Amino acid sequence: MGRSHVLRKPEELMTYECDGCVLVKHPPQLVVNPANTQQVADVVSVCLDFNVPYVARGAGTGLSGGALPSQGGVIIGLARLNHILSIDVENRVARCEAGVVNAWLNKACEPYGLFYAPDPSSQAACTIGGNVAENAGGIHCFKYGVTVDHCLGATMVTTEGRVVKLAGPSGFGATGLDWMGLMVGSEGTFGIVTEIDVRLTPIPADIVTYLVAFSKVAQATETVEAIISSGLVPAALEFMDAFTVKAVNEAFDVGFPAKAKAVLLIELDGTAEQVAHDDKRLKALMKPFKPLQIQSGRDSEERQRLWKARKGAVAAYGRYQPAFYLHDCVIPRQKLTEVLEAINAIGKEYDVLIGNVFHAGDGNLHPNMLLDPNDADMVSRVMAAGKAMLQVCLDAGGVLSGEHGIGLEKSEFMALQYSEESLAVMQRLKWVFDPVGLANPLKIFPTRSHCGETNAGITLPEKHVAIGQGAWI
Amino acid sequence: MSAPPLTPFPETLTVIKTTWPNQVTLSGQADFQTMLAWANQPDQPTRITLTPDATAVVALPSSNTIDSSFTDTQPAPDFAMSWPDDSATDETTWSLDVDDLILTTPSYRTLESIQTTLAEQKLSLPWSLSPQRTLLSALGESPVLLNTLSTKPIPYWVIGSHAITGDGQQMQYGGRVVKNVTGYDMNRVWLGSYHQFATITSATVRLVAMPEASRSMLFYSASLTDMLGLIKRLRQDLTTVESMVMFHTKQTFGWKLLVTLSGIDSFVETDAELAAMLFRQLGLQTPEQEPLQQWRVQESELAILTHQLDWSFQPPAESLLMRAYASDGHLWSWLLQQAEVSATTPLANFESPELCWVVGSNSVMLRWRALQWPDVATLMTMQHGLEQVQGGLQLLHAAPNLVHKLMLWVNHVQAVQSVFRQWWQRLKQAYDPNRVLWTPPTLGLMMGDWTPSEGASS
Repeated sequence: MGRSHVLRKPEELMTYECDGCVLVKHPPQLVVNPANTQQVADVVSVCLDFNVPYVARGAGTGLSGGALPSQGGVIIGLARLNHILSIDVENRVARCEAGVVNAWLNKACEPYGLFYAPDPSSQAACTIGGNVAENAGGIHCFKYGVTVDHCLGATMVTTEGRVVKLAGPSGFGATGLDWMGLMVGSEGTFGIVTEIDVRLTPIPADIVTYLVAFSKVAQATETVEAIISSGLVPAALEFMDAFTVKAVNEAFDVGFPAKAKAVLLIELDGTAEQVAHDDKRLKALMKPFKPLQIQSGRDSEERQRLWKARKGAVAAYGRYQPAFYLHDCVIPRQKLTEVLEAINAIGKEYDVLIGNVFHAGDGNLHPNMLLDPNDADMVSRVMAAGKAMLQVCLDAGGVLSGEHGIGLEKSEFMALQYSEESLAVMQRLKWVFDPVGLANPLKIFPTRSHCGETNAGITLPEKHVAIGQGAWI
Repeated sequence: MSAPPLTPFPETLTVIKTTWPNQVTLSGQADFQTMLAWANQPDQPTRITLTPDATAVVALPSSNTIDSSFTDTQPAPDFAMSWPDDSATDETTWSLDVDDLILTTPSYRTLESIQTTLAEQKLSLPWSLSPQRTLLSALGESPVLLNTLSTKPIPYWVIGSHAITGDGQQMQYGGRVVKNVTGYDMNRVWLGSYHQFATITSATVRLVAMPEASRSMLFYSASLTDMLGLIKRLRQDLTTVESMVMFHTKQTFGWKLLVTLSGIDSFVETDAELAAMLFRQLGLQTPEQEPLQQWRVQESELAILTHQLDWSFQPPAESLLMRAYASDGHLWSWLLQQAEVSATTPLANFESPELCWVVGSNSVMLRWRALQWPDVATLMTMQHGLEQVQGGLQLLHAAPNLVHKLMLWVNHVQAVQSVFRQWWQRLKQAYDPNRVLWTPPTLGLMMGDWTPSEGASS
């Protein structure tokens, strides 16, 4: 692949020491940037020969430390695999390489009246391969589903360095087993997906967006609950808390009432008739909760103005602290009110500023804990508050992660959610696809002392060698 | 058939009733686990089998190897166990949250009984499958839903599961939340695996509100080309199509299309009229020129039709059932090619299989019955044709005397599947190391786990 695509100088490697979760850092010993599937397979084969661990990396926008070489070794950068290989308009399938940026794919599909539904907040930078690794979600996943619901087939490099095709544009394969579904969300621990067949969706004929402000948090959360139980399925159902509303007002002057304690962003889409019908239902559902203000937008420009408040929320936090650390728990939607109250109480207890902006329709919380990474005491309080929040969510019947993955950052918390027996059953799957254990090791599962040995007599490898001198010459 | 020497049942096993020959009804999940532990004992000549309808679990002595599954006469089980019937709802595993649209239910319940309970709350599990299937059966096979056009596949709906692996380990995955990437998605291992790695004892599924209105219609045509033309127009012009299933069977005239509309009452009504108008505009005729009202399928008839169209549920023993898969657009072209070959005798060039196409599913079910078997050259031609468009054939069921005939095709498919065979073997080793759980013979054949012996040939 050429020397220019192999990075080894410390200043070059520094870029790769963390992902979007800046609190966890592990620099690689080497970064290689292959240009195609076969080169990826060659790199994996060499790693296998030298017993060197490796981690695939897309744009590095992940938020769980999933693409970090926590045990040293090689980062296999997939940024050069950035081609959209085909767009089959008739069958609504696109085939692209793993390094294609999510937003590029959407831009390419738009002229055909199609879009790729999973839209993580980082879609302007994140790659489809990274989305596959984490089973990424996004704002419109409440209606359209997450990444796994839109992946039909893939080409992947196995941990033995072989190239294999999983299913295809039909979504079926000869065995009937769901190999594709298993790979999505496996965080690069089963092999490296290099090409993906994704399902495309027709752009809806009509879209209407609302920003609805409430004077009490409970009014907003109860509106969410009323929408869910009515069976109405908006394209997006997002929540912003009082702190976020204030930050957004200050940053972008979006005109939310000063009394607003919570704002919902609700989007309806479909045929014009369907949207008109749902619009009436939505207004009737919201009325009992006495919104302070309803802003709506139907044309593209108006909707973008309304979306700016939601999409700019995290940027607006920058006025308060230079960085943030966030969690990604999902809770039963009927528990939104009580869990939000508990999260705010934790913020006060640990003296941490928290902005809640999240996917309310999915019950997927994103408490953003604002921090200065150079303030060790603050970081320590944030980490403690984060753990307390996780426990609150789990106690409410929730799970640790809805779309960011476990990676390195949350691996030690897995035992809070799963029993030792369940963790052991889950961990056997790693052995099935990666018996040697070189593919993105030490991710997802807590330390080995808890669950390395399974009842099937399968022992996962403990540690791998660092790269030897001359191994890459 | 005399039973081989077995260790006696554990004393803790609660046997509710016993129906000779050796039909044992257990008290539920805990006993299933006990039974698995018993079956996993060293040298215990036992194999546990989920029967094709997945309503019972049968333990066979190991002398009845997987090979025997392809023999003409299924050996009588030495004993069997089944879970309680639907009347005995297990309070610990049944939980309906009407506000969050979430249901947790034991997997032995039939879809019919689940839907009946949900209908009381105006809720529904949007799976159009035979109502006679148990949830266990639907999860085990993860078949194509007849309403694929308007819904997502089964794994989307299953957000939590409790499973017991072949070696008796419990796995609680997911829960009552609709989004979850906490660790590996174990449902993707269990669903569609025919319970060969683990048995799902209960599942949590998301629900939808029942539509305001629903209507089904059945259209007929002697011409495949005309029928495809109708499907195209219906997809273009109607907004409330829930499902379209086109089928052709030996017993019936020409091609049929079952269309179900659902949604807002006035929209459904408008679409129903529009569908009838399109049918007439395209010059399609019913055999007896029946008025529109007679095309309408009543609810009771729809249940029967849905059962009949769920071909992979209890396929006839003497049949060959395959899934041709490719993108719908390619299948469309392929069907049109067949129509051009013969306008009056559809699909005549490959021994006329019966055919069922769930529009939007990227797959067509093909079924051959006794005396109409395809020759292997025909299958290979189909396989190669489908491979040209990144598709293929999947074997779902084969009559015992067909296995030898299929081997050329099997060998071809196996050649490109070696990685999957390795993964499958490791899955079996990881979750069912003593091979206690039954593997479908068709899958065993494809995975090279079984090759036909002399005894298996006709």
